[in-house]
Amino acid sequence: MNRRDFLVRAGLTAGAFTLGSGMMSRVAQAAVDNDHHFIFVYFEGGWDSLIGLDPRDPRIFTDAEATATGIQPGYDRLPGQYSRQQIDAGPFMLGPCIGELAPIADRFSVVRGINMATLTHEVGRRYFITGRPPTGLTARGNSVATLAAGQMVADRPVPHLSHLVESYNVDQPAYAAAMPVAAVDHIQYILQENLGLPTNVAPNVRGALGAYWQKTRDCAPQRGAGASKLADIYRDNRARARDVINGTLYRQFQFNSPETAAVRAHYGLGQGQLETAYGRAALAAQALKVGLSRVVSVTLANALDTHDQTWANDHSSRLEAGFNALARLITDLEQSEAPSGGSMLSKTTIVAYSEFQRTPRINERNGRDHHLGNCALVAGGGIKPGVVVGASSDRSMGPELVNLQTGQPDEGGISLSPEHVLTTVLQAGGCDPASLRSAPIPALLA
Amino acid sequence: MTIAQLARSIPVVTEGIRWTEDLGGGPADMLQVLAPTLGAPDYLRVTEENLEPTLIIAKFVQDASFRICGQWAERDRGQAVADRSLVQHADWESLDEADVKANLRALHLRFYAQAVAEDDDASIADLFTLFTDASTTAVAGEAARDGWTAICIAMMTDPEFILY
Repeated sequence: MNRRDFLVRAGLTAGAFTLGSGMMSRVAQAAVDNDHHFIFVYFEGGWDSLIGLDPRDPRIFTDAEATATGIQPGYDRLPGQYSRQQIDAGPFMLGPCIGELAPIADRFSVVRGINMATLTHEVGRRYFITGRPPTGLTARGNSVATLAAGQMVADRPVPHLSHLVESYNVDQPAYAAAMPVAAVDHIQYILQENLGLPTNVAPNVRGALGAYWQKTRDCAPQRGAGASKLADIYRDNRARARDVINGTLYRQFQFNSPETAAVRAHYGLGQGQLETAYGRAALAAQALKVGLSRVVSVTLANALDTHDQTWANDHSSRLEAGFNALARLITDLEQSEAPSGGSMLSKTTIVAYSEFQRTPRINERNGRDHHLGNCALVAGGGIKPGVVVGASSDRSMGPELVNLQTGQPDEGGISLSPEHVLTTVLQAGGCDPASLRSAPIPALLA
Repeated sequence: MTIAQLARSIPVVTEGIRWTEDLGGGPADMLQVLAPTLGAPDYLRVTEENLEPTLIIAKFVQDASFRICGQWAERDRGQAVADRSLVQHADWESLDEADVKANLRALHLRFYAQAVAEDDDASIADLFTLFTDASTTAVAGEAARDGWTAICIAMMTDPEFILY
């Protein structure tokens, strides 16, 4: 980026949506020593599950039968590079736009037949972000990413990083609120003193201040604001901020430097490709791998809301790019060793979601509209891989009732909702999901 | 204090100096630019600001102080005594202990709205040590500038100022 770009985009981006109060109670809230990480991956606009995570056989679900089945895979309408059939990925079938996720299907699981109970983007998005149905368009409760960050020790400079995903903090500690970045390379400037611009503070002044800050930290005043619990938190954070500034962490986010050559190679980041799904996936993985964050929320696909003929070309390519980026993110974490041993993937729980799926029938404008059903992908630590839980029906892809224990359709079961998935994700990562007031899906837990 | 309060308070203390950078489109108020990153409300979906001093806030407060304090010292040094806001004694370059301590008392009042009594050296002892450390290690001719720059940074990044 250039810094002018930073100025414009930082000023325009949405912030971390901190709604809460009662901060002292949050400060005092206990966090668990949990060597785990989370990545919440958002596909913006409502994804097409038929060409992605919940396909159908086009030889059975033909256009001629569409009135009866309510399902049109539409694979023959996609650009020529995509298969006209489902992809046999081993553990399960996937759609033709699944891209690089197909060869690694044994590393993740799929939840199908999720009932979103909404056709509105904001409602579906905030439902899957918080695990609670919004009030009108207004989110209720914390974002689940914030809940996760709040339950872990604040041992990272930016415990919760968010790239273009809303976050909500109602009653969690301040450190759990997402720090938003509007562009992938903003983070390198945020981590540098004065965004990397010169400050003209002489070395002797810095040295004198270092000694002064150490002394005032060790000998905090007995009265006034400086004697408060918040002041202690501030002094600790001030010291950690100086460690970040004085360190070289920012270099790990300079994606054009020799130090990040391996990252560029893995994600295929060529010139001008940083602000793509691949660059965002690289940012998410790097944030965890180099110890910047415990929790990352990231958008890997945009503009999926294709109601017209743009569905065939645009939705397919954007969805595939998002899936490819997610696949590279998973394999990057799998190939990276965690500081405490094992792979980073084994220490990271990932969930990928959209606000809802698109209609199984193609509309009169050759696009797809909003559908009440949904699906999700889960992977990583605590998650049993290679499993399909839940199902959409073979008639209009309505959500089927599911037995949570087996994960299989069951007429005596329940309707899957986002909170079931998110409860499972939190539990898989060793966090307490109680505030979501839902049950996990045991069939997904390793 | 909130980010908006911080952005308003700093120019009050410094008599008009803000943290600005030219990022290519002219001087930009960095606390406004960074407000979303710092968690400031947008009054659309964010209606209440979390006041806990996170690492990122601490980091950018230091950035702000580093930029502002050097500018403030340079401007102040070139001004007549009556127009100054950083150093009140007549000889700006003075390192005299009485001058320095009197000025530290004045800055204590300016930054924290707390008066330090004439016979209370303990409250400014650490700051006096800081001034001495910075000024005695400065290059020739810059002792007072470095001393007061260090004092400004220390006071602007102090919890007494940030949390008040």
